[in-house]
Amino acid sequence: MNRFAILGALVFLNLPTLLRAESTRMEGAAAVYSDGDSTALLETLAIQGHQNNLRLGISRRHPLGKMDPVSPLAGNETGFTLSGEIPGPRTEEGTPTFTVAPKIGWLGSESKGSDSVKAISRWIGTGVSFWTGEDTTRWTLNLQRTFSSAKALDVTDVDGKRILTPERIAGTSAGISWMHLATPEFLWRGSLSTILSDDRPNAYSGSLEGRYFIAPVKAAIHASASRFENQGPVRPVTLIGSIAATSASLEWHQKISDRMILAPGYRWYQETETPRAANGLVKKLGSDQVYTTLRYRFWKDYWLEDASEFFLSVGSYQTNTGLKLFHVAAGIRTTLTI
Amino acid sequence: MKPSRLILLLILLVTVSCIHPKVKFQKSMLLDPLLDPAKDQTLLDSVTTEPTRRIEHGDPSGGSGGGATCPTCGG
Repeated sequence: MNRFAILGALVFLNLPTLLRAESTRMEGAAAVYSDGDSTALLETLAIQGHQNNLRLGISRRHPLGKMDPVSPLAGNETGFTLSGEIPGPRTEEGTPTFTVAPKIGWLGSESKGSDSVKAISRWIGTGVSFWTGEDTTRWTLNLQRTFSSAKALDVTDVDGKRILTPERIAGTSAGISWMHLATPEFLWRGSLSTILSDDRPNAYSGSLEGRYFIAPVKAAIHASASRFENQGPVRPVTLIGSIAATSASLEWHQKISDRMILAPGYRWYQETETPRAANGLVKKLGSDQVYTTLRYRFWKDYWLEDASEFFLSVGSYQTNTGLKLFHVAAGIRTTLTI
Repeated sequence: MKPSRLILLLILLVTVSCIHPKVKFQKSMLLDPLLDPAKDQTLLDSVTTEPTRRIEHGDPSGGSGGGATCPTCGG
């Protein structure tokens, strides 16, 4: 039995006691990804105390069978995150005036090919959330510091310039996001954020999403769009040029019984990478992703945050460079009371 | 779209939302759970976004300070 399985078993057996929670929410999911020649398995576990919202998440991705070393699925990846919520003083109605949510995480990855490359990323951050507008708008402020380390790469660019990537990189991200419950049928969300990194120009991103419930057909439409810009002078310490990316997605969540929901979705993505070298080629990456999820909730009229449910998800992802990926995933979420 | 224009557009939308007639209700009073305010906190979302994570360089989440798993950009 490998270390990951032992750790997962210990978490599931012991954490409810460690969390000192009367009830514990658990989630587990497994997903298989394939590009036709190679296959990888993603296993994820999450456990969360119901009263204190202390949450531990563990994930692991690894090849299944023979793996092409140049496949995007190649390599191993293991990560964990630990997050919690600390409520501020409560109002007369008993709801917290604000909530502080600290988190830490670790992600290790290893790609195995002709040249094995190991990379580790660690981060620590916190978020602060509060409601305004008579509890119709929730605001969240985020601040995060990331430390990454990887083997240094020394290559010569197309203009003859030497590129030497650093072994250690630090970055800071800050952002604000909000969710506005505009009407009983409509909510919309948005976010603005920036990333300041040692080796890259400053990055800025924004996203908007609207969700509308159409009562006559018992369905909801979720539409979102985002923009990411990491542009400016690129120094010879990174292999990636300046990036501008746009994405949009559309999902239709259809009730097909009191407990079952079928949710097909589509995501469109386009990215332009302008190289550092003046004589380098501008790369344009476009992708289409189509996916469908079937969700079964064990209790009807159960609010999502407490709901126990089972899901199945299938999808395909295709780029304009000829890459095709398929996935099949299944997961379960339940609440245990001790 | 330039970042400055995008930011102005988002500020405009937030302003409009803030002057919306006040409707006092909590999230449990939303007409239907299909609106899923907590959808992004589930593992279902992470298995769907996994294929894009190592292929695309733009922040797939649109950026809310979360993630921070990219050794290249620190984001």
